[in-house]
Amino acid sequence: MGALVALVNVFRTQASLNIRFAAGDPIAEMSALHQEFDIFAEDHDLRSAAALLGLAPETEPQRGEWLGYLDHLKTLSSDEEGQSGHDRIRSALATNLASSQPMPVNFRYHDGSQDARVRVTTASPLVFLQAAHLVISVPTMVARDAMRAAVKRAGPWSSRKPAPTPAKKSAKKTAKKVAKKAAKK
Amino acid sequence: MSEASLARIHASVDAYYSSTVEAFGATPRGVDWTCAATQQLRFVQLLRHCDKTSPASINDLGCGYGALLAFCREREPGWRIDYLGVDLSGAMVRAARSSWPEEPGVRFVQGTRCPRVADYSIASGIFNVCGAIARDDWERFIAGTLRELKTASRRAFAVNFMAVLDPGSSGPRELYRTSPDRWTEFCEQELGARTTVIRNYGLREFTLWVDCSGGVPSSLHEPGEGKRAGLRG
Repeated sequence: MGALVALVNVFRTQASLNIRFAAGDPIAEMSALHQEFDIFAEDHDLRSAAALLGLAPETEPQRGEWLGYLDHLKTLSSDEEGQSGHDRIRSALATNLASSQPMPVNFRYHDGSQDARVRVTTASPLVFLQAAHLVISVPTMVARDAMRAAVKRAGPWSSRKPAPTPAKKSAKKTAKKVAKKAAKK
Repeated sequence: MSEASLARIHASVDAYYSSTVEAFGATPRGVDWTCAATQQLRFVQLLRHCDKTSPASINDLGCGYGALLAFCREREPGWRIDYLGVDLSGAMVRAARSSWPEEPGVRFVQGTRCPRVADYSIASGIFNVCGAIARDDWERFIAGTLRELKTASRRAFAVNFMAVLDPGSSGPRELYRTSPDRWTEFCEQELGARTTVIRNYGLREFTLWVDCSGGVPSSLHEPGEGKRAGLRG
């Protein structure tokens, strides 16, 4: 997260999400919107849902970073086997919002080094919130650790050296021919 | 209501919405809605009882940048409409005209009232932000606008209002909230129209559908295409 979305926008978008999916009028509104427009249906992704619901920063590059992060969730696993983090969130929201008594939703983050999956549970997220919430938790890592992990996954430099491209190969051949001709002369 | 009071209200509304469109552009935020989805959910309710099986003319009072027109095109592509958007904010009308340049059956005019009789008149969110205007004055403004909408509508008009909050909770003072009874009584007793209240659609508000098919005063007629009688801009 830290490497993909600036910290201030992590807080802002989390706050916006928790306000728009809060108990009472907000979750009733969200449920009505989903039931009218199928916002979290399978053929929509979180990127389009966020744009339609105004749940993305207004200005670039922050907006692009956040929407890109939502796409990145497709690469994460989830606590539902075979389902990506992105699809887990989308389907959990769809099921909840389509129910006759939709629960408010709390969005939070957890330490990705402990559990790299997107998790969906039911709980009372804060002491002063008595109502049961759908809790959606997304794994995060600090940027430095994420980069170290990526480097580690990529292996040593020697294994990452790209194979010569056809253009480079032909350039090498031409250079050799030129060198031979020059030597003969 | 005195001309001076009405002019003060119009100036206040103009200033408010010109500033929102300047800040956010031709977007739902630019017309002070949270997002496209809530804006469109309101359109669903406002158009709910329109007969979409035959061509119709529509006045859109407080049209903003013409989002209702875009919604109709997308949601009801087979419905042929003759659309007139009216907004008192010059900035909004400019934004609308740049989005819908030179299209037959689509006009945007700057003004405070609908200049023609159409089958339907729609007004979304125009009574919500009263700012610092006293409640009595604001209600006189609403009553006057509803009278004009009745006059400008052949079949029906639809408007929406923010509903009252639960006891004990408070909201911003610059927003006008009311109960349906206040305005159904007005429309039925003062305007002699039949009303239908649409509510429980997920937003703390209600939509008032006012059936005007009892007759339209003969003093009004629909001006020809391109005419902008009595309007600024």
